[in-house]
Amino acid sequence: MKIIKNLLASVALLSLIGCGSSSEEDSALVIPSYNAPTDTVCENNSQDIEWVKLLSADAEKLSEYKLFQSQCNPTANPNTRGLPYDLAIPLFSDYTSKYRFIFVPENEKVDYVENEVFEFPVGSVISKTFSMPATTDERGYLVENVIETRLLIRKSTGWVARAYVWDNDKLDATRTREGASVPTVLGHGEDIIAFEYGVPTQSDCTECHKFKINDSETLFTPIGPKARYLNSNYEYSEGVLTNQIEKWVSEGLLDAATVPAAESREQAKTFNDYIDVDSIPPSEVEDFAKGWLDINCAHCHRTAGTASNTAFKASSVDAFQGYCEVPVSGAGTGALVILPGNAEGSLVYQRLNTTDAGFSMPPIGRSAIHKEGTELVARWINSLSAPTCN
Amino acid sequence: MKINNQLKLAAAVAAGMVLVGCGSDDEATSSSINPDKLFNCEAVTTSPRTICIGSADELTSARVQSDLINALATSQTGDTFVFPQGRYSLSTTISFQGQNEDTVSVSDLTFKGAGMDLTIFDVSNSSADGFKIEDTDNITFEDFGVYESNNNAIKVIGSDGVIMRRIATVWETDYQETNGAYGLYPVESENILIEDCFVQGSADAGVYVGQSNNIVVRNTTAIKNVAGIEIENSTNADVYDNIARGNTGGILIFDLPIGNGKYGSDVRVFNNIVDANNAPNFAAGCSEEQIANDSCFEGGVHIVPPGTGMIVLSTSNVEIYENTITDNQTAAIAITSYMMADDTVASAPSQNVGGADTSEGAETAVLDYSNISKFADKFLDGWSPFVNGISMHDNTLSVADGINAPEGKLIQFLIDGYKEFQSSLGIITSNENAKLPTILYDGIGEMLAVTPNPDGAGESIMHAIAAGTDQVAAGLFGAVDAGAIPQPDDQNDMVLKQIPDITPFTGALYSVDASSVCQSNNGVNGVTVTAASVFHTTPSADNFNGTEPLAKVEIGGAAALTGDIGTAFTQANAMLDDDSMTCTTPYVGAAAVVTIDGMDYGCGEDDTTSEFCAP
Repeated sequence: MKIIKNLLASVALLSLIGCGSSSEEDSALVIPSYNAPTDTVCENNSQDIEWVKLLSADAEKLSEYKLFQSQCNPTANPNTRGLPYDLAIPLFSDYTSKYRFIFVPENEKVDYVENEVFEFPVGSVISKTFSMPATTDERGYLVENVIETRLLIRKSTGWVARAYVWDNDKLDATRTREGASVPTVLGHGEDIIAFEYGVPTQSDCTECHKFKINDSETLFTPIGPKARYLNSNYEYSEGVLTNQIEKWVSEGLLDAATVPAAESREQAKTFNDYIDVDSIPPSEVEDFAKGWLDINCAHCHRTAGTASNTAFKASSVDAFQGYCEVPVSGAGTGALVILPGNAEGSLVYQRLNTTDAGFSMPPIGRSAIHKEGTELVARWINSLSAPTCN
Repeated sequence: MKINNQLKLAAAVAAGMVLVGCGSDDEATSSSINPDKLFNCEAVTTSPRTICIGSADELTSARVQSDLINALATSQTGDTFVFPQGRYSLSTTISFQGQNEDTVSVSDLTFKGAGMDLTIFDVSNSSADGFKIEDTDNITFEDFGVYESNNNAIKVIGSDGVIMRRIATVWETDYQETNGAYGLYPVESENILIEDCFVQGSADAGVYVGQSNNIVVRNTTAIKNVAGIEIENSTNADVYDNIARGNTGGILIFDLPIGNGKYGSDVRVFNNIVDANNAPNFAAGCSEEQIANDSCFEGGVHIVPPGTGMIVLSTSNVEIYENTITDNQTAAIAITSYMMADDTVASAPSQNVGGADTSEGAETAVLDYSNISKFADKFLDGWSPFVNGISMHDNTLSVADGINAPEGKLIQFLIDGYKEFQSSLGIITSNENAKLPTILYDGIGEMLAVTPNPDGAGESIMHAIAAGTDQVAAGLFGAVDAGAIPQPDDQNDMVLKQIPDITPFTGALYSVDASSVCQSNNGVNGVTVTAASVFHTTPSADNFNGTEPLAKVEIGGAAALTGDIGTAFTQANAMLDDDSMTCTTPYVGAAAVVTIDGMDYGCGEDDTTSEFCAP
């Protein structure tokens, strides 16, 4: 097996230079095994969600909100009215499994919105749990290390974010504002990857979820629940795939009056780590790659995002920018943002294909290289024959 | 004058730079800057609040980091966060995005330490910036140091009102490419005051103010950075009473083609000490491959010539006066158009372009502005590659004997030209370094801006290039049926970028006037220094060989130069035959005024005592 030690390797190297006393060996990496807790407090128990408590957004323990039937398991069995969902292309988070749920109060409905995030009624909650498998070949709550559950809560004044880190005994999760660093060893295909999984700080949440209305006003918004990502299938019951937008309508979560006809709904390509990059037809590589860049980069790299001052715009809603562009400042290598036909010479690829602190992108939320997504972007850039940049 | 204090500080920090071995306490450090831990803060719980970071009985790095993040998450407008004395290692970027955890907008925050060498944040374990503060107005940083950032030390984006006062940003290993980028880094902001700060070791710029306006940088010491102090794509800036020493380049005023409508002008640089900026350029440069396939961004800091006191690159309306710029081994002041960074800026636009049709046999499709010319969108965005309105006067300039050794990417072409010329005259041997004028000016931008387009109606060559770009783009705009504009997910969506963005071209940017680049009364003890342009700045048919511009020496050779060409380096052999850089009405700048929370800062505002505030 090939060993990729990323951050740990560089830390070890530094300490070697500093003190010459470490004896770090490559063979130290062992894939761990994880087991779900079996404590009696984990038993399923259908209850009413604590909607009022949620609006105060002040619980110290995740279980206080009673979002899930089992207080130990935020990956399944939501209480009423919660529904799991997925995105056609997920944002990469160090190969964690992500378990997403939308909770909407009784008698309230979500409005369909073109291009941007759906309009959610006050009281809505989005729960996303990040859970690390031992190897990416085998996923699921029973064999994963549940790390954190992030909530977005729609208050009357707007969305707020709350992050809960799972306690060591995995029976409940505790609120954090400071984030956390979780040393991780992960098997992925032929590789064993070691890195520090980072739970974001409170302010990190805002950095990605900020939407600039204009020069002086910003909103906090969710990123994922947009029509183009939800217009895809989900396996609500075993072996049965249902379009998520249809499901939201039939469950009464989405206001049917706001939903356009099926053929008029936007749709992103479906891409995840189980889709072989080689299987993507050349004519569709661009759409897949831009879809991947959209979900992974465009919350900042768009006119309304925090990286609006850069020469890279990746949103499928705005005009794409980056071909032959010079980086604005502080981007280092002298490379152009995207050099058509040459991924290695493109800053976008360089900054995805690294874990170097200060150079890797996105700047928060990624400690491992997303091999598949990065490969997809590389193929796309290499496929561009278009203009020379001079 | 506070410069003496700054000098002492610089010396003290430099003296303290002996590396120690592995520390044995709980927070090992390779630095000798390791002040005693001390808690000295009294909380105030009524607005405006004072929030103490750490406590009298707990002053660990973990506690300090935890307290600070929690304080920011629960912040209110007007809060002051007081840091304890001591050196603390942070493991994450201290980020604030203008909102607290209840997404309420928060402004008027102050971060305050015990002193720039008494409260130190070692951020080498953070993944990116030390502090990253966005979208909050009236932000103040005072009295602390940020060391060893993997990226920038303190970055502020999108703020109106930024004060950085007695802040140190330091990378302690000299000339190391892996040092972080910027020390003090306000960008896309306005009303910025940087004073009494210390910046050392940045692999880019120690102080970098970018894409901003209303800026004062004063009483600040910058040493051993690639660029000491850099004002880039910014307007209304005063840079005064600073020391830039031991950098690759001392003070840089740049205006780069960045394509977001933010371009620089109106900068005054005065009463600074800019000496011995002879460090190697240790910024990451372009790879061999990038250079070979011409995909290198030529405006990066890696082009800064070692041994340059000041550089003005394609920025107009800059007044440089009463500075002491000495012992820089390439040139005291270099003034260049963007042609020196990338001469393709003067390439004629391609007429051989069509619409969005990419089918075989169609005219070359315009997939991007770059099909028209590399800089087409930047011209249309309002950028000019020229310098105009540069006035340098009353500066004390010298290149010390024995250290003359000009080098550097940005001006290598000029250096090579001088060397060839001086060798041919026997002024130097082929083994000797070229002798450059103390004030070096390329002149080629001015030449292109004053020379009429041979086929034109009186417009200049550069105007014709930019206007031609505009015409091609406008023609394309007219030719592409609106209904045929590709949608974002189409293969040709690059077209979209340029269709809606055409800004009417204004020719004013592409002309220069008689006060283009002026110098007077510069030198030491009344001896006027050499100052010369390499290209003729008055129009003449002789200036070109076909379309190839010719330097003065190429046109006339040694014999055509007037004056007494001896073996000494004089104005005459500095190619000074038609351009004394003297002007009747040189540019006069105005004081920059920084307004923060109702208070005005700058010359004649809070500062009524500094010399030379008035030009």
